[in-house]
Amino acid sequence: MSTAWKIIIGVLLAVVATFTIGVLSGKIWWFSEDPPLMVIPDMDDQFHLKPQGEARFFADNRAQRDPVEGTLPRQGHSYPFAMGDVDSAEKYFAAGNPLPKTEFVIARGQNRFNTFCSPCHNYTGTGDGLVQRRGFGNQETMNLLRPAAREYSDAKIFHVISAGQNIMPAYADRISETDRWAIVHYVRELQSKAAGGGLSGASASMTNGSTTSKNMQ
Amino acid sequence: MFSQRVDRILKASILGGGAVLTVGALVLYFGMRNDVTDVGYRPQQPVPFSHKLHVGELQIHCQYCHAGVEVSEHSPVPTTSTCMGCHIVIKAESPKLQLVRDSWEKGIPIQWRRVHKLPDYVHFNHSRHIRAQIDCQSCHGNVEIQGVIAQNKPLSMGWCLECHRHPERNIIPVRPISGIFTGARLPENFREHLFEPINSNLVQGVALRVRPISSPQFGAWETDVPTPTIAGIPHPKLPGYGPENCSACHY
Repeated sequence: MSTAWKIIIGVLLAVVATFTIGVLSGKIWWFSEDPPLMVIPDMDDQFHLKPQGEARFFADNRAQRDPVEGTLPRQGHSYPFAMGDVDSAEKYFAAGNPLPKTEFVIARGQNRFNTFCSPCHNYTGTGDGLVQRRGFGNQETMNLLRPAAREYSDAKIFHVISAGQNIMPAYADRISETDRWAIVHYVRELQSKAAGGGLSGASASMTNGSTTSKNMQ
Repeated sequence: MFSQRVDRILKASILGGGAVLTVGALVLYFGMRNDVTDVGYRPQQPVPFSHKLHVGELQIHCQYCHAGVEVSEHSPVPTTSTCMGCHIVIKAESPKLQLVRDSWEKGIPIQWRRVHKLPDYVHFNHSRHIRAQIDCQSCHGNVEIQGVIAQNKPLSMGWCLECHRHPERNIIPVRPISGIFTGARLPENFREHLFEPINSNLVQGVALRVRPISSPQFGAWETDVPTPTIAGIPHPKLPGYGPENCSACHY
């Protein structure tokens, strides 16, 4: 065997060895659509239903069943008023916001507001969030700082969050009752800040626009 | 005893066989580890949903869709009504959303394919980790740049324990995009680092020094045994070392 062949074979062996060691140590990996290899399945898949899982027993294959009609939740209650039924809500929640206005509650309100409201209403409440800019045209009705929205009672804001309004969906299933009241506190604070001249709608949206474009780069 | 030829063949086959067996055993032993078999699992989903678009560009927080993760062991896959909250107006005719509309109108469940799967004898509680202010990215990777979600971490027992023992090396602190509640307000300029951690030193408890304690109603915040909720608000816990006893996860 000539020296050239020896070198070629040596290099090949080295490449194969490096690749094998790289794969086995987890340093080299690639995407795959195939389910992970199960060499020893142990008891990885046991015979029970998992949340949001599959159950062939039922016709629609859903492991999670709808509650029997008339079932009530153990904690709290489902929101009783329909979209647009503001009068009943205002009568029912006439006492206003049951949560004390503390830093902790407002921090929670900010957290939930940023999570659930900011896609459309923007972080400042100006109604020009990124989803609104992409898909919804009506910024004015989404502006929480407009005079009409400032006139809303706490109960009405709570009702709109819970049951929705116009194209806004109901959030009672995703935000707990306490959190919704915390959001009401935070919306109130945004509104009073805007009224106090801290952030006017236009300048707030402009600053956000510049940050956003920076983020997107 | 044997002829020289047979002797050579015997020696060679014993040596060669030993080498093949050793390499095979090594490949089997290391190749069965989760970071070899599981990382990079990227199934195509029935609906071509893009986290890159929804999180990366539209900045919809993780918890907008995966709501309930801070009170539940299971991080929920969003319901069809969550999708239709926007898509009843936006892209209402898109053929890519046909399955979602079918689900909405006829109640047919969308069969999403599960990416992250633990063995059934292990319990992982999402709410506990979210309340300890561990960012989603710590385990799920950079979701905001993935068009199709892939498994990013091995999810093996060694990997779990490594983080329970040395959280300061592994945990990514809270990022505003995750929607994790830290107990305090975000800094004024949080929008500039929507995709960056806001507390670089979370495990040492620096973030918690600024925590507000004002109302007696939230006095439980100060107690040694954290209550799961305060007046219905899920309670952020002190981040710290995770348990290492078997029954913490295998119960």
